[in-house]
Amino acid sequence: MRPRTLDDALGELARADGEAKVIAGGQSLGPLLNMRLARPALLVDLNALPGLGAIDDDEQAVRFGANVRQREAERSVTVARRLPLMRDALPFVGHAHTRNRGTVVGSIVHADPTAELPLVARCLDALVEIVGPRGRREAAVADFYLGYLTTELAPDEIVVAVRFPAAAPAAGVVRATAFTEMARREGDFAIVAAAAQLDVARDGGRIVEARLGLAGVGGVPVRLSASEALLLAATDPARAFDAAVAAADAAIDPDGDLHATAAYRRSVAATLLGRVLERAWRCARAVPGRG
Amino acid sequence: MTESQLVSVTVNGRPRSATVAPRRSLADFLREDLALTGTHLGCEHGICGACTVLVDGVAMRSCILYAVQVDGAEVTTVEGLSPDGTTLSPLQDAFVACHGLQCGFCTSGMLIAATALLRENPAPTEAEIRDELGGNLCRCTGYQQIVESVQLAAHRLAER
Repeated sequence: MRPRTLDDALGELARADGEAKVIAGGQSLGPLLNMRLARPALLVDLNALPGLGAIDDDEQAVRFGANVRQREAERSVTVARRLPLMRDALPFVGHAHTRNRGTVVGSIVHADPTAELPLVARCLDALVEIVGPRGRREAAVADFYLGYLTTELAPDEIVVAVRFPAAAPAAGVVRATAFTEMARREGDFAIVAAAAQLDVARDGGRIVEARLGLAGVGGVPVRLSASEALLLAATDPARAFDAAVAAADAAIDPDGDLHATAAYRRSVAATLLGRVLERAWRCARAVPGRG
Repeated sequence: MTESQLVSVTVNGRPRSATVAPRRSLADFLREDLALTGTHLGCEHGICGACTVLVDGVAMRSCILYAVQVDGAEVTTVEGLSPDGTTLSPLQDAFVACHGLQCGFCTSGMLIAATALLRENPAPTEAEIRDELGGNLCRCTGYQQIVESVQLAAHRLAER
C-alpha cells in the first residue's frame, strides 16, 4: 500500500490489525522479509506521504521527517553544523548505497541495539514524534526503546519524525564530538560503537556538559550518566578519563552471542570509549583562542 | 494478501510495465518480468551489492526494493550503460583494459556503483573509490584491478 495521506496510512494500519509493517527506506526491513524473519501481511509505504522529507532547524531542535534518507543527512550542512555527533556517526551506517535509500528515522525506529543512529539519538535525548488513532504524542528515546528491536510503538502508530534538541553551546564553550565502532567487516553491524560529545569551557578547560554512550553492550543503546558525572566533577578532565571508562564498565551488562562474548564486548567497549574521549578532548582543546 | 499491481517504469530509457505482486523485488521484476538478467542476485539481503541499479540516478540495491516502490521512476541497469547498445561505455572499456573482472558475477553491480560515483565525482581519489565501492563484494579480483579500472575511466573521461 502506498497511501497519499497520513490518515489513509493510519487507516490501513488499523484495518491490518497488527499484521502490517510500515516501510520507508526498507534497508533493514527488506533483508528481514527476504530471510522470512518477518512476514507481514501488508506493507504501508510512507514514501508518497507529503511533508515527511525535510530536515528542519528551528534553532531549538533539528527535526528529521520520516522519509529523510541517511545520505541526505550525511551531506546536510545543517547536520554538520548543528549535530556534529550525527555527522560523525553517519559514515558508519551501512554502505553508501544503503544510505541512499535508508532513512534516519527508520534506523532509529528499527531499534537495532548495535546501530549507530539509535545511539546518537540516545546521547542527544532525541524525541520521537508519533501519530496514531489516538492522536499525536511524543516519546523520549530513552523511554521509547524497550529492548532488542523492540520499542513501545503500538502496531497502529507511525513515527512521522524524530527531533534532536540542538541548543548551541554557551559563549566561551567549545563543543567537540567523536564516534567510532568496531565491526567485523566495514559497513557491517557494529560489535560495539562508542559516542562522545564534550562541551568544554575555553577558560579553565572544565567539561560543562558530557554526552557519552555505547551501543552493542545490551538490548538498547546505553547512556553513561555515571561516567558523565565524573567528567563534570573533574577540575582536570583528562585525568578522569580512566575513571569514566571504569564507571562505564560498571554500568553495562553486555550479552555474549555468536559475534562476540560478553567479556570481549566489555573489553572493546572500554577501548573505544577511551578513544572517543581522547579524540573529542583533543579536538576541543585544539580550538584556537582558549584561555 | 494484497492483489497484484501495475508497475510502470522507464528502464534504460524505454517505458516498461508489468503487473506484479507487491512482494516482487525490483531485482526479480527486472530479471523475471523484463528478462534483463544482467542484474545479478548474490546475497539477496542487501550485503553484496551485485544487484545494484540506478533509481532516478541514485545507486540502490534492487533486492531490497520492491517493484511497486519504483512505479514512475527511471531505472538504469547494466544493460543501459552502453551508449548505443553495442559499444562499451568508457567505464566498461576500462574494466576490460585493467582486468577489472574475472568471473563477472559482481561486475554489473560494480559498474553501476562506479558509474554513479563518476557522475558525482569525476576525479575520485583511491580512498573515495574504495569507500564508494565498499558495499560491493568481489571474490575474484582482490579489488585492486577494479579500483584501477575506475581510475583509468576517470582519467580517460577527463581527457575527452
